[in-house]
Amino acid sequence: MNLTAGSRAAWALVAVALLGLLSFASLDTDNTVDPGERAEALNDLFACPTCDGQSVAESNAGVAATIRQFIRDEIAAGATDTDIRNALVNSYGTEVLLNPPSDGVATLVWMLPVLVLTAGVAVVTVTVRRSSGSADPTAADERLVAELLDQQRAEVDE
Amino acid sequence: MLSAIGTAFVLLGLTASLAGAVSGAVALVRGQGTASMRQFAWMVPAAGLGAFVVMEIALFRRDYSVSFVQQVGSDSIPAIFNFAALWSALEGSLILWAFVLGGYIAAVLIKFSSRRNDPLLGWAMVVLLGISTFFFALMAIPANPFQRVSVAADFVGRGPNPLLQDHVLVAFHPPMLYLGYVGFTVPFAFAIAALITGRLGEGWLVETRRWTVIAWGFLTFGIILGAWWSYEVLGWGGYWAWDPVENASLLPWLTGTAYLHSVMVQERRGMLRVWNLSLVCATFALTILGTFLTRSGVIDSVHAFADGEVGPWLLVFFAIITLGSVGLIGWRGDRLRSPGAIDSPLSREASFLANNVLFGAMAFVVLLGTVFPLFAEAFDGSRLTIGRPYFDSLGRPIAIVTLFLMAVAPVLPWRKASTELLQTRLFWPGVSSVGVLALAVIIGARGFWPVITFALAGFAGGAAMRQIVLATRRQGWRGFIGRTNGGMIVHLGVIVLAMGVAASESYKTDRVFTLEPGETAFVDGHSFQYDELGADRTSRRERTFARVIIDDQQEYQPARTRYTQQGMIVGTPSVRPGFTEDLYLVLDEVPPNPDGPIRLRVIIRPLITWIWGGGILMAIGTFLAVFPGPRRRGTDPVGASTTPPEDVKRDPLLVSAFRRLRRGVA
Amino acid sequence: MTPVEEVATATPEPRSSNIRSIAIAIGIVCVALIALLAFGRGDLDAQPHPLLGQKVPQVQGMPLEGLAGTSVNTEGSPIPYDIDAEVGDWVLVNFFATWCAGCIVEHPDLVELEAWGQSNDLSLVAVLFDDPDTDAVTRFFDREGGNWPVLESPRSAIDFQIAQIPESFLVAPNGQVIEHYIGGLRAFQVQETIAELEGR
Repeated sequence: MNLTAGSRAAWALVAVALLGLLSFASLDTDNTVDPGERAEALNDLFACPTCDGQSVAESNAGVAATIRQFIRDEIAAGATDTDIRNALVNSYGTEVLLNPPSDGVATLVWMLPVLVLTAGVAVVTVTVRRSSGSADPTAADERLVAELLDQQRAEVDE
Repeated sequence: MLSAIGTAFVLLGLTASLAGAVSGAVALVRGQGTASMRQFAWMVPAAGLGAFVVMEIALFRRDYSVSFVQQVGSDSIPAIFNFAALWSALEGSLILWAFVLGGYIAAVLIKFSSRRNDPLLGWAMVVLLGISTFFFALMAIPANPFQRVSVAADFVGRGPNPLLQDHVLVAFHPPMLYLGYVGFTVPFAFAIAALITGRLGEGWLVETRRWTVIAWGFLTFGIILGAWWSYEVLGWGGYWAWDPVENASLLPWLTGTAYLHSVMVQERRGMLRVWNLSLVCATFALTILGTFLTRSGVIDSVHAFADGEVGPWLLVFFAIITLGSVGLIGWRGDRLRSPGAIDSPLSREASFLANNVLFGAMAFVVLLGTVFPLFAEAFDGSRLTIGRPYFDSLGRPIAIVTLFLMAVAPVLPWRKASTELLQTRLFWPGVSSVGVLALAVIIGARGFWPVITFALAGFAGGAAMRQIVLATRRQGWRGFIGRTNGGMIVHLGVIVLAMGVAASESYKTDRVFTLEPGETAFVDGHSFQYDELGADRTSRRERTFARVIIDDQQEYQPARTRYTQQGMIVGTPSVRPGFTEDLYLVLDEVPPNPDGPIRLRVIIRPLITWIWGGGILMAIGTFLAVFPGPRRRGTDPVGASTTPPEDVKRDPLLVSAFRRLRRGVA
Repeated sequence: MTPVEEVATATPEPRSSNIRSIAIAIGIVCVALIALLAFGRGDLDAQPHPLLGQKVPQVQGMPLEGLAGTSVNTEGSPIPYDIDAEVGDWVLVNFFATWCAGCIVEHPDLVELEAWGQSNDLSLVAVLFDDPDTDAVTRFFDREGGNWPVLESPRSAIDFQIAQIPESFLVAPNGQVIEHYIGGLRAFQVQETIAELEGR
């Protein structure tokens, strides 16, 4: 099926609309972060120390509530996110970070998925590349294919 | 009395499974008939059913001389929760597992009764019985639910964990999950049988196709129900915490989903044999690994009620399964070379490969994130936690690419597509993408991740609708059933779910208020007026609730409930669900005197009901996919009747086949 | 399958030897995973509190008004509390909340310790843990007794890594944290420790 100029223009319109809307919506964000939102975002990053992997935001445990209060207090006192992170790590160790740090052995947890994904993509690409690439059909091929198609159609019609 | 009968059923199940597996294997090796194995096999479902029924009777009668009833039974909880108490702790869950496995064994026996002398089926049954031997052995030795215990005459059971007492979803979530988990045993058994018999063609796969779809459907629905339960009961306003136990259920789902797609490549083109076998084995092994993680206490989790004794058993079983499968695949490697080739990156089969890369990568991320803290500690003693931010940051891009693939893959023909064809077929999905995106932006959606999710949801939704419209136009109502059409409805469910996840995560509002009686809080245009405290009590619980009136209309009662028998206080949220947003109230703090201020947490999550809706749509789609679809002809399943012959004529595989023919002639 | 597909060309998929070596590699990974799951878990719960032997973290703040234990200046407003001013004597830092049953059980022992401490160089300070209702605290002390300052300090709860109240820490005159009591202390435990370390 050949693409008419009209349909090409229509696609261009779709693409422009998509890109325009996407960039508008991604850029037109409210960059002012109020302290409540900052606290909310921070609450999501720390593990509640007593409740096995739930975040401070999720847990109803007393210690989670205390850390939430601590984060609110520190923000009100003008602490940066890094200050708060460091204070919590000092007390509770790196375990309190739900997002593993990117140094030491923890780098592996970030690198391995990327390696696996790359390897997967590579294997698939090689498989497809290696097996594709049959040359364009010659006129003789076309004729043979046409014969086969007729044959097949005849079979299907039976 | 009941404990003796129950134990008898367990022992019957154990001996019948073991005897059946051994006699079957011996007979098959010697090339004899397997009639005795089938007789033993029939006893297994009977034993599973017997154990299940006996335990339910014991629970209803509150027969505290049975150890499991003493553990979870209660005089004061309603009947349905006594029924559901069976799966509220490990020992009873094993009964459910054995009961479901027995059901699947019976189904296999009936379905394939006409082919009783086929060694493939014989070996599959040996594997099934081997697995049921393991589960009955668990019940007989380390986790016997039917132990006889003596109790004082006035003993009153404590009932199951309070979180498992009060919500109707508890009655459905675990059975669904188990039907899914255990369901994957059947394709696994056939895969192992294929490896043993060396019949590694497409036979085993076609036999178990429908079983896999059914198991997948149950697992999907079970996971969604679990998320729903977590949202309704746990009171933190979320539904998925990337907890190890949740991850454990997601792992087999991911590999199972990958398998459902790649299996089609093998069926049609005979390719990916090793890969598909590996996926089936991995899926089953991951269900066992998940059970191990849940039950051994090896990984900290809010769900894990450590039952150390079964841990080593499950780990050994996991080792047998993985090493056995890997060994068999390695041994049969020479027979697994598959014919066929991928001709073009723009083809249905290539898109399924891409799907497998994505699902495989996601499964790897989930597994790695779950066990990595153990590894880090063993490696250099460092203590790490891996939680939501990690899974989110890696899962989000994978999910986005998957959505994109969901748009493109359904319109791709097998073998090779031209870009013109793609441009034609993807035009209306493209328009739908713009439409959904524009609507979202007009309503006020902002931010890259949610907005691209909406755009791709529109794209993928358009592609799925295109297939459904074409199919129904051709075949009428039959255009809704069959694997491809049902699959597209599943896709629609996934898309609805994805939009729900994107909106409810990105546009969540979470505020805490301290409110005096009569005071009102305002969030996002809603008013929350705190009236007064109320209280009610039953024999098993005391509930203190706050009367909160939302938008001057209806009263909601977030509560804190004390379960007297466990002495446990549980926050019970109150939710006003809605099509566009849920208002979720949690009573954080109750004042000691009724006139004091309460601490009320208000969480607003848009589109969260879409997640449950999407899940239901997925379940419906799976159900429709199980029925045999309309027969197709030609090589292109999507648009056979609309595809011009030129399209087929360009098929390089046909061409290369003819080259070989021609060479043979010449 | 259509007949055409059956004559499809066999292209180089992984050879059997490849499959075998991949299988062996995967097998090794599986064995490693199983070994990790079997032996990977150290004894996590047997660790002593990391503050033991360390200098006591800062404990300072404004004590709650209206309590008997709050020292006031001449104008009647509370004087800020700072643990550094108390170090030199023994100090017991107690974390509690009015909603915590264990704290109510523990309270008489704290009252006993306070009385004993006046002649034995021991002072008490309490830090509220997740308890925003300060009126309840006043009622609690009116009812249960006790004359020590009570601070609201989430910072301290973090510094002392409080997880499960009641928890208390005994600080020696040199400022070192030397004992950690979790889940309710008894007066005699503290008295014995102090007596032992002072060589009495």
